[in-house]
Amino acid sequence: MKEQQDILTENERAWLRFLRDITEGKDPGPTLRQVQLLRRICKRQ
Amino acid sequence: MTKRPYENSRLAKYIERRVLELKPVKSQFQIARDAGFPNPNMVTMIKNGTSKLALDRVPSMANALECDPAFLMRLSMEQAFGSIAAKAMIEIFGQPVTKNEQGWMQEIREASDHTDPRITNRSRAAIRAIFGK
Repeated sequence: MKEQQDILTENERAWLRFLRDITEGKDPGPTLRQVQLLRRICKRQ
Repeated sequence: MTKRPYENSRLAKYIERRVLELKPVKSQFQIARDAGFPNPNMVTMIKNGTSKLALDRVPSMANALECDPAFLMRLSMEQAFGSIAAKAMIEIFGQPVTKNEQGWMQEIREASDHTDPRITNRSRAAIRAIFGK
């Protein structure tokens, strides 16, 4: 478990914390639609 | 009256949900057996909050419930020590990252072309929109 944490960057940990907050700790997996939207966001940045 | 000290824990609610979801393919008796509980009533007791899930039982219970062990461990730590103490433990020992979370991280890496992007206010707003929040 600790190893998994260590391989995440500080930025990735911030994304993870935000995802946990937004999903209220329900641990949903990424769906195709969500991945498509995510890619669109990243392209715009 | 039966005492149910863990009735409102997120773990009790989650296990109740998983037992229900697995009902068409697996009985509660089978779940208890797969998790290695000598007493099949133990699943009922965890589900209704009479008993807590022992931390050493998390791997076999996750397997029996066909769920992510890291997620179940997080909920079990919260139930066993309380949310604040669980946060302190996580800060020291590291956060259990679930397979779904690893999936999200992988998608973020690929979508950003492995540039390790910071989470900005704009990306927060966009993620909220993705989840309809």
